[in-house]
Amino acid sequence: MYKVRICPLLAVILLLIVCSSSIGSQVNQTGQKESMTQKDINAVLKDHDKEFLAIPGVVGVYVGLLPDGKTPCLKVMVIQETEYLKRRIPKSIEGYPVLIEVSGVIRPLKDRTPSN
Amino acid sequence: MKANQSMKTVLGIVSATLVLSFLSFFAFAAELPEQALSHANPRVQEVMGAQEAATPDLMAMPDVLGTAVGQDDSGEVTILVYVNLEGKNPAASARNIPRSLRGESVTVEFTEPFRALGKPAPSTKVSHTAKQTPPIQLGTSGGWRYDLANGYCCGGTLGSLVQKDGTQYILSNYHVFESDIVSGGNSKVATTGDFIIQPGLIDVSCNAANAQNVATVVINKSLLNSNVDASIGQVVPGMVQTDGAILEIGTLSKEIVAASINQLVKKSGRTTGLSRSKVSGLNATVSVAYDNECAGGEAFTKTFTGQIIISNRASKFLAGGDSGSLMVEDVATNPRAVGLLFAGSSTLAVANPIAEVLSFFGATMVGQ
Repeated sequence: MYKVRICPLLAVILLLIVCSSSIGSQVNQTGQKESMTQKDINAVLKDHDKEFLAIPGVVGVYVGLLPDGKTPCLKVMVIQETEYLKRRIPKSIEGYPVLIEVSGVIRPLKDRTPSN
Repeated sequence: MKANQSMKTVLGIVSATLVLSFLSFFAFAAELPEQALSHANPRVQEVMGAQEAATPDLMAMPDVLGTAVGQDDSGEVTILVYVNLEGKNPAASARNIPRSLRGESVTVEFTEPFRALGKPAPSTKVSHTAKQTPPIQLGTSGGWRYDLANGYCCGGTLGSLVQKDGTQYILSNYHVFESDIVSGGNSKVATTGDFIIQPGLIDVSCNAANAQNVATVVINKSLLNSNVDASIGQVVPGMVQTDGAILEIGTLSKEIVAASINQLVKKSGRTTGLSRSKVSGLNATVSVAYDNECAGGEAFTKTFTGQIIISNRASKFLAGGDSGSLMVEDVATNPRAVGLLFAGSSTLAVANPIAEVLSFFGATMVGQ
């Protein structure tokens, strides 16, 4: 009877320990694997720029840095930030962070004035 | 049966743990309401603390005029450091400013010296729109002589001087020299041999008689099929300084340099004159819509690849009329060319890498 009561508790503890350690090792393994095989960010941009440009409201994408000034990321230029774009644009791609940047419309910068 | 019960218990506890984790995550997120960035904002107060502590050391650095708390291009609260663009060596001074201080990011802003607003400062400004006495310097207003249609006239910047087979050409953009491709509003399309004038029509009340012919268009049609928005005009002998000097920049190096992130750059253009900024991105894929003539309809949308992105807060670096300006490294003498500016918005500017532009024409920069 005593054995019957203690077994589920031990099983839970063991399972939680196994789960937590396996999650940790997965993260580490994934991180190591990514750092060993991660593509150059310019190649990532080249592979995905058309997908980004196909999203209505996106006008460009480029390689920039996070605000820490050193971590490379992809910056997606949008006319204006909308819930739709927040949903459509992934937070990261192939291991690189993706940031939305409100650039507005990109125009050729000639100027004009009325002729009258 | 007992094993089943044990498994149910395990699953129940794991599920409860996961649910609790999610709930605690959302509860934490809900504790972070968006607040206006006033003095009362805790984040602003944190950065202000770091700013106040760091200011004495920053003010002791050459060319530093002041500090403040503001937002960087991505909207993060940052320590702003103002560097005097008329100082001894603003680019070098900016480079010596740490990127972060006391755990907070630092953003450098170039500015003219602060002056009390009661008295106007003596004007030493170089005009980038006035008609010059030839031979002219570049970084000045200019454009296609007939760029007038649909009730408007148009113009941009005569940016720099290049050479090919011993002949000198003014370098600007396709959309400044060649983009009138329909006879529509002016019964004319841009043609090889048409004059390029200084200043552009926009600075002579749309009357070309008040400007001077400085070059002739050489149609190259960089758009739609190439990856640059560039055009050249063959110099009319005696009308342009043969050393390729640019207003407020001077002569260039004949060498060029590739862009790099955070590289300090400057340009001399028709609208914003001499202005400075830094490269914020590389390898950009960007879509830009073009008109078929001055104030005309949309001709096409071009997607460029491999472009340079430059910070352009409030259009202080590049604005309408600056198209065609050459972007160079921010050094005092004989800077190397980095890119050909052609497009942008009120937050960022876009430049073609200069190597690709020169390769398109088979040309080199005129320089020392």
